[in-house]
Amino acid sequence: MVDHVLSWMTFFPLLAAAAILVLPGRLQSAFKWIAVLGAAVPFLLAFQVWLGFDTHLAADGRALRGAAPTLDAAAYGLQFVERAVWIRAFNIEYFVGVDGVSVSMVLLTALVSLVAVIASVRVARPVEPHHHSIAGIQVKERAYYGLILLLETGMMGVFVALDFFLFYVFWEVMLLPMYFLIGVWGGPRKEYAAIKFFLYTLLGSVLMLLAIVYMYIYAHPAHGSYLLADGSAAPHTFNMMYLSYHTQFEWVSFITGKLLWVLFFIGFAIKIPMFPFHTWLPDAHVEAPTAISVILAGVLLKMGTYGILRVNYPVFPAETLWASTAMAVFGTINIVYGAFCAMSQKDFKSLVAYSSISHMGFVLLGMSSFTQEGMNGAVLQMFNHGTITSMMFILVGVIYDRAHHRDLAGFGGLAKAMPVYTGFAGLAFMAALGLPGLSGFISEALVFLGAFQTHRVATIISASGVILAASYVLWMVHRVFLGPLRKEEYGEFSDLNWREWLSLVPLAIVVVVLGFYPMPVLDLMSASLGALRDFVLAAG
Amino acid sequence: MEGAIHAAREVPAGYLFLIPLFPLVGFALNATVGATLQKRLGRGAVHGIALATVFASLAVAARAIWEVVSHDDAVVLTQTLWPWIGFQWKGLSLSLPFAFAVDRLTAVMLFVVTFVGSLIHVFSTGYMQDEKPYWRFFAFMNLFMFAMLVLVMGDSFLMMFVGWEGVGLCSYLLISYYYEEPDKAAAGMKAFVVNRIGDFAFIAGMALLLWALVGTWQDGRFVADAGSQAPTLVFREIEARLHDDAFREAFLAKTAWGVPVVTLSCVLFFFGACGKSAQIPLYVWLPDAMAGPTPVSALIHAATMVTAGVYMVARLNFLYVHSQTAMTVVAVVGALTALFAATIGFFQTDIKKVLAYSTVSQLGYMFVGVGVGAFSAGIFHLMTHAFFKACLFLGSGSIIYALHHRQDLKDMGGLRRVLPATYWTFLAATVAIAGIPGTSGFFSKDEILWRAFDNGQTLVSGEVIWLFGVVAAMFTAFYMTRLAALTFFGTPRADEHTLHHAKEYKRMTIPLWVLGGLALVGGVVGVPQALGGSNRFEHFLEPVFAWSGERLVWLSEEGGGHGAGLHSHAGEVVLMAVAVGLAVAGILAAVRIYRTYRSPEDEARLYGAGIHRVIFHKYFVDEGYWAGVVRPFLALTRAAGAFDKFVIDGVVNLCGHATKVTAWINGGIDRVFVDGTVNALATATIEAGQRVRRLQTGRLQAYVTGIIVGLSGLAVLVYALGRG
Repeated sequence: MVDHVLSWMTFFPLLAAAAILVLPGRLQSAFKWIAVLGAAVPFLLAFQVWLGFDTHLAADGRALRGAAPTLDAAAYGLQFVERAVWIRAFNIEYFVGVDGVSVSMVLLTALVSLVAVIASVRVARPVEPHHHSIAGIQVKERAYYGLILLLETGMMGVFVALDFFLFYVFWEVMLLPMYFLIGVWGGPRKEYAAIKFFLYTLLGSVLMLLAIVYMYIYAHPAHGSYLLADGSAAPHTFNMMYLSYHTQFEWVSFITGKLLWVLFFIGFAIKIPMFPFHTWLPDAHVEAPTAISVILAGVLLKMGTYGILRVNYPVFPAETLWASTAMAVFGTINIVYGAFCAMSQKDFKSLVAYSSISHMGFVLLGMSSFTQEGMNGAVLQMFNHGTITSMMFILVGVIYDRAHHRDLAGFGGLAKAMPVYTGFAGLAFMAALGLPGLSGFISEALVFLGAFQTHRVATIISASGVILAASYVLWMVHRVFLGPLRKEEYGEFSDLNWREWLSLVPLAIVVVVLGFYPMPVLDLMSASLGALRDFVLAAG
Repeated sequence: MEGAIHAAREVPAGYLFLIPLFPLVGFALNATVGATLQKRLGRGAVHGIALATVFASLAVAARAIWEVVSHDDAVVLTQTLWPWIGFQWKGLSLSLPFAFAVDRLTAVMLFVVTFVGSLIHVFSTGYMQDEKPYWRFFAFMNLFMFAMLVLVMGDSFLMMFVGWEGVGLCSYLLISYYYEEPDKAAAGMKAFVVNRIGDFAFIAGMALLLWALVGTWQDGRFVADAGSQAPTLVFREIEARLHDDAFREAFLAKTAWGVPVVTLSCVLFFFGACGKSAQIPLYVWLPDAMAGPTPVSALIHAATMVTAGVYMVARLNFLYVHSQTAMTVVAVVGALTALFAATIGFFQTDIKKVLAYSTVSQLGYMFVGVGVGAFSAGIFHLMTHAFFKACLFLGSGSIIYALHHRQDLKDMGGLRRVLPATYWTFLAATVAIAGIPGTSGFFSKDEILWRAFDNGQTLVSGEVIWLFGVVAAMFTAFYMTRLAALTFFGTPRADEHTLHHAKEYKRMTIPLWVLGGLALVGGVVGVPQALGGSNRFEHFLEPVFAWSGERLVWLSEEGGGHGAGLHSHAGEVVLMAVAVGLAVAGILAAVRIYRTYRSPEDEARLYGAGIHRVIFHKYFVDEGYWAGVVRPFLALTRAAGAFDKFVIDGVVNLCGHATKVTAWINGGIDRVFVDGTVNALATATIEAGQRVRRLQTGRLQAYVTGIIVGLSGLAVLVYALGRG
């Protein structure tokens, strides 16, 4: 058992990145293996978190409301906590830990990051221009692997940080490598896509920063006083738990809780991405290299919905209830509109990107319901979408590496040429359309069952998403895999190589197992989400 | 009467999981190593696995059925495998196990699925022997068996739905078996999407029901109903709750959008059934599904999967009996479909298409049965239909195989000498479906017709439903006789060479004989009392439907059990005679007309070009859907795509450009007015910019180094502070 496990998970990739940077260039062929190691260690440590996590622990929000701030992490349902004063002048702490809301995201990040690093590995040099080069990252490996590991640190940090300042730092840390990873290793319009991603997210984080600063200045403890890690009292705090449970806000001029709620929400909604802030996503995906798309869709999008659950829900419970219908409506728009757009895409990757928009709508819908089924379904959907969509992007990458295009109209009959590939694709895309027996179904069904109790019309409209998803997925399968071979040369495509196997198999296992036995993940989250739900509802 | 009927006794049976597990293992083996096995060891290894697992499943199912039968009281065999969905928090929330249950209704389905399924697997080893991806076929067939067994054994809505969509997937995979032909692949896609429309309704019904079972959202707050229990989706638990008077009253009083929840959810579930069981308006996928190999049509699109909707309505009998509206919808849609599809059967020229429309029509009968409250009659017809329709499809498969995959009636004729076993069994199944007295189809169909006539629940009078039924029966007799005449009688129209080489394999004829025999005699288990029988089938299923049965009205049982006029045993016999008379008339008419071969042109002349055209083109329903639904839908998706690209993203880009322009103006002001003062700074910026540019082109790692070194420093600092 490793002490400080969350810190190790967060910073080990950074250590690996540092190692890659200092190594001499002649060891270039080792960089990718160091990167694999850098991602594998957090993955292994994730098992410790998973197995050691006490699934019954949860914060009793109503009791905390009437009590003074305490240093007892367990009272807040937090586990694996590490806490120390970082910048005393501003009461900033290094405060990390997980509860049921974040622990599944930490596990997801560890899994998807490892898969993404594996999916980057160069298998062969591009000797011939066509079918024998199986790409991976071929240029500037040192920088690439450094950045992707740095990205993992940022992502992991966002999910474990419990201090707003720390959270914000990680949020920005994650932004920068992403910008370069798209902008340098991306496709033809990479600069446009990267800058769009960067500015859009930056806009969101600026709104968030304003709200954070306001909270720091104008929040006061309702009882007792805020405590720093060493027990000293502090007048102001960035501590997320304190701001959630022990705080009274002072409202200055036009600023209200609703405004802060909206600032945070927009900041997070851009990340989800929620309609109408979603157009950066297809561009970013289409231009990003495969592994980066995997991380982008697999982990980054979840930061938006995670942020809402971590910040908007407990800090502004009454405002969250106020916005419940709006969230459901936007969730519904995401589901239906995203599916319609997916259907009309001509680019394979763009289709998968829009399907992500549609699937993230389920998360919004589910969490807007304030039912056990809905909220657990939402977070489970975050996890499941992370694994399923990662598979889909890897699969798109597989065919792009061979055909060097992604034009849906240009494929056809690949099932004949690449049966194993088709098998994995069938699994991933069936999971995406919510086929029972695979993980996506459980979360979608829970969302429907839970959301219907709160938002009946929105849920009925959203449920039409099952028809739309079947339409765009099957039509895509039809165009890409079925029918006669469209081009002679497709017949010579090699089936999956070992790298592709290695990146797909872990995800496939998770997708199948969680379809039949989702309890390992549901158990992690349900106590905390149940507590959160009760806490929010009590504010109404 | 409450309390007189106890909930069925639950008996744990730890072996139930084996029933679906065996075929799943078969699938897993053939899907992963099947191709290799086929290459190294030949096809025998592939179908060896497939058959072994299916027969193993049949054996375990037999044991389960035996256990159900051998108990005098109604028992439910149950097995809970693991917790499937549940939340660790207090309060009323859903908790569902991954569990199987086998009661008498499921026992019937188990028998049909595993028995007919096994026979069709055997047949397939002959029919598919020339196919290259032999392993793929058997892998998917096994997967189908798994899903179908989960469907009938699942003890909750959600478990059933796993099977429900699982069979849909297998249907898709097997319809698209010849995926290299775009038409066939498209047929699979159509089947899946149309089924999904039904599934949408199923999900909505499930959500509605769960909502009604738990609580309400009032004034922006969720409140659990007073005394309400945690919601459940387990069939037995829902029924048990309805047994409670207070609960039932509260439940039945619930409305959504002004409609009683029970009606709305039952109609939604039935709409789901319309997809799976090919009823109006969602039947359009089934005829296209004939693109799959013929054993698939026999197993999935005749005997088992398409009857899932009927099974579901019967399973939910405890809900349906509380809504006359829903029951009426089921019965009327069933009656309309039975008649409508039968007429399309008249002029089809593809042997499988005739059988497909016949299946749609027969499924309509089953829905009439369960719709009027005659649940066991509906299930009885489900079983007999599985025998005779599987036999017909396998027979057509035998013909198609012999004729080198030609399936148009114009290439057939006179085959009775070439394919004698096929001929005799096909004939047996034909008389059964036509309802000739004594055959299985006669008993089951007449039970449905009688119950429809006699029922007191539908809002439409029972006589009307009955009338639709008997006319459809006459039509059925007609088109089936036409089909048999055009295939087996007259002069052969296939070429000499083909006829010379045509032969029947034992592995194909044995299943035919078994099914043909059952088509003839399988009805003895359900001989009605009016004919001196004891209807053992109905008695067997009675415990399942007993509680609902008390809520049903049969006109012949009014007034102390002595019905008047036609609503009596004597009346039943009269009605039977009418039905048989019409069926015989249908047969005789067809025999007269199709003594000689009639091409579509002949038929057009014979029946009138207008009528023929409309019916031959299936009332242009597919064309109507294409123009009225599919094309507008596709147009809408394109509109959404364009809107996203040009409007939403347009605004984003506009913002971007506006910022750039502002920056440019700003820059101008800067140059003109504040130039000198910030000169030094500007130079520095330019230099930095150049350096950055250099980094971006070649030495990006330096930049990254910066970030990482900085962050590492930060981390060390934090650690140090943490120590201190």
